[in-house]
Amino acid sequence: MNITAKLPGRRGAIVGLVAALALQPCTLLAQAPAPAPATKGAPAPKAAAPAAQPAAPKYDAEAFQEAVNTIVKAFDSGDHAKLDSMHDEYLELLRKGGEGRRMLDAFAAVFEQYFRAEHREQLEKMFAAWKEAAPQSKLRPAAEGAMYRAFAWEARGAGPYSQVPEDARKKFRENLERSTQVIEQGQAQGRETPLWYWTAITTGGAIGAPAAALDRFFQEGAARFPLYMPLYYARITFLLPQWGGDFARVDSFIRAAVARTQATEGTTLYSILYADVVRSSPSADFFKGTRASWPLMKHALEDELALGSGDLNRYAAFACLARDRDTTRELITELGDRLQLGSSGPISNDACKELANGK
Amino acid sequence: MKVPGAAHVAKGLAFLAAMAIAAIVHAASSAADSSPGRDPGALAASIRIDGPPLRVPLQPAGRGARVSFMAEAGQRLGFGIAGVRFTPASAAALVVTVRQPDGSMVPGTRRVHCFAAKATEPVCDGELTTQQAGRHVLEIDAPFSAAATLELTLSSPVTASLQVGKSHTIAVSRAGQDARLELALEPGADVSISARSAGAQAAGPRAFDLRAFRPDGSLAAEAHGDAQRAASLSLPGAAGLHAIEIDPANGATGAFVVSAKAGSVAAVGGPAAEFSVAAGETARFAVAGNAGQGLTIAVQGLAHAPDVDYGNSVIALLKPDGGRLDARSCITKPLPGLAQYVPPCKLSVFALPESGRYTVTVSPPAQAAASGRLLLADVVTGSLAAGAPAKLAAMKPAQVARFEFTGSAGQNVQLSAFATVPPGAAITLLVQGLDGTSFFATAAGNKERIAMFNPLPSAGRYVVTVDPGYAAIETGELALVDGQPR
Repeated sequence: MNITAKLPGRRGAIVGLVAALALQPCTLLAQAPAPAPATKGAPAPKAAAPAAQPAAPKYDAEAFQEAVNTIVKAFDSGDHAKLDSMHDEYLELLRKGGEGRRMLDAFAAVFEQYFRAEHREQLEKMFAAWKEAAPQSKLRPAAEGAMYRAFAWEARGAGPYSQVPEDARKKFRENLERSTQVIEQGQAQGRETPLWYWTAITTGGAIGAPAAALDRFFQEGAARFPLYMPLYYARITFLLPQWGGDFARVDSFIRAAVARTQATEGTTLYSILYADVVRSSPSADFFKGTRASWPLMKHALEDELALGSGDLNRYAAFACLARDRDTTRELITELGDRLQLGSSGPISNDACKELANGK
Repeated sequence: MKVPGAAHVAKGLAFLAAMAIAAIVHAASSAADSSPGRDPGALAASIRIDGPPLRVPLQPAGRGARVSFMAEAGQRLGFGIAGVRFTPASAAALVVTVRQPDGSMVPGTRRVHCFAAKATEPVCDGELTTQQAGRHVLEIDAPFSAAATLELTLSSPVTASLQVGKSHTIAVSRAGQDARLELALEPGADVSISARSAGAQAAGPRAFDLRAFRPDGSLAAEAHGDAQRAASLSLPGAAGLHAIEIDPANGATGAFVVSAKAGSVAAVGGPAAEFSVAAGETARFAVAGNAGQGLTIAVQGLAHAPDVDYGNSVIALLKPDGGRLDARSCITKPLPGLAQYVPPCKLSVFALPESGRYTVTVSPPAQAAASGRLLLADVVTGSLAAGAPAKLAAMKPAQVARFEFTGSAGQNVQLSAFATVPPGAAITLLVQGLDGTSFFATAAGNKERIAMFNPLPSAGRYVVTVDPGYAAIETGELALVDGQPR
């Protein structure tokens, strides 16, 4: 089976999704003095260290993209053993924390984009074979559930539910029910991965499950995997006004997320999760329209910088959004020609420079 | 987007509801419903320069502080924040900003991040030079999710005078405090400054910055040192009263030895300049250079004490602005298990980027002293063509010759020379494509009459470099010949 080969542009879509993920670049290694040219009979001196240490793996955007590509290839070829081994490796990285903890997100990135109903038959055969060959796979129930959820949304399309044709509604419901069944049947081993909780929340939210049910899945998943960010993104989605929630509940959720993770993450989840809210609810009046606090956001962005994961452009964008003239000016000055806030709209290089200059 | 009706998905809901009931009640569930502190208003306090430390309790969670102090314009100050502790434990930082009387940040300062104190980093610190007289404020912004305690100290620097040719030991006793030494320079003086942690107290990393400020207060140069390696910098030019600052990292206290030495000047083509530097120090030589000039730097008789295995000194050429132009590692003996050959300690730059005062530095290995002789030479240049061999005049060991030419496939570059080659040394003939994509070379050992050649693989522009290494070429001829060498 090679679905990707039959889907021109599919990889491009996944690449675009990956580019939107906030993986931090690695710090460049310091450059050593250039060695002398190697000439016959005149070897250049080696470095002073008698034995080189093995290089630590880098978990940067390039490594993440490579992981996405490998996962796509494994689905294309039906190599479920490869998928299981990658999953277990990345799950261990998540448990360890550190730079590699975001690698498991590669699976969620692929699940969001890969599954298409036109390949349903091939995919279902692949999942059946996977289930038979590896009944204890932790990943398979989450992946299969995500597949049916993707089929559901593909059938439904975007826009208000009231405008969805009845046959599309029917397919939407049927696929979500199928997803629910897969999640339920795979729960024994599924609970060993945060992807199962993520699929349960995203499917449950789409079904319209009660908030208490989604909260229980989130609480259990976040207690076991507190640094798996897609869980937070998934739960926040169904707290937004467009899903029947409100920004007071969003704010309480984000503050609780900070309390849960601050021992290792400081207050950074405040800015990370509100950045996700901005993406879902873009508005020039963001700080007025939501419960987001600019002083708390500013501190969280400072924590990001202090912990080495900060992005001055993102900081400047939020300062500009908050109409904090002094901070915007300081950051624009600090960024210099690295300023990249966009070319149009209320948060753009020109608009934010105007704010900084007092216009 | 509207939520689909629950009545249509009863089956899915049943599972989800059941799952909800059966879900594990976990320890963190209370966190989801809690709402950590809203801004309770900043704590107001004041502190006196060089006064006792101020204990600052930031409670409840989220409470910041505004600590004011009076200062004159032009004061250099350091602050230390010790013993930061968060409850509950948090990886968040206190964000410290210093504002001057008009409310703006003190120019030249940045926000300082202070994490919870650790054994290796018990204090965080910052420094500033006031530009306005009056009431300043240290703003401490705390995370909203944790209460904090800290101890703040505000200090003027320990001061002393430094004289060229002398050392001075200075002790820093307060968290966040810096040391500042005045150094008067005559016009045209060229001085190198070095600083190191005093040995007996140099426990732990004890990193520090060494800075030199010009008489007008602007930063002239900066270097970094630690317990293992001294910091050094050169201070050229402006006459007047300079300031040398020692800024211990992490608010560390302890003693530092600071010395000022008249800088050495090395002349291109001049006699060898002897040097001898202690462990952690750096030898520095000023060299006048012109844009486009070729320059070879060689160190003869390099010795390390102790002569540790794998120890290497680094010779570097610094541009007039202090940035590194090129550098090379030099060893004193074969590398055990890696190589039997000791290449010449030599660095060539074929075109200096600008005219001005360059600096050559020689930095010994960590925890070893180094000595040797520095030689500077112009690069011998010329052109080469088939039938028009280039004569090489006597070449000193420090020199390198570099000829560009156009060659064709099958031609050979041939060097014929009479030379004095010490045991273990070698003369190198290196031919490279100008695009850098191909090179090949041969070397000769201990012979009096040298004959070397390199065949060209294809037509194109090449450059040939003759490097006598530690040898001295008495006479030589470089030729481009067709076919087999003569």
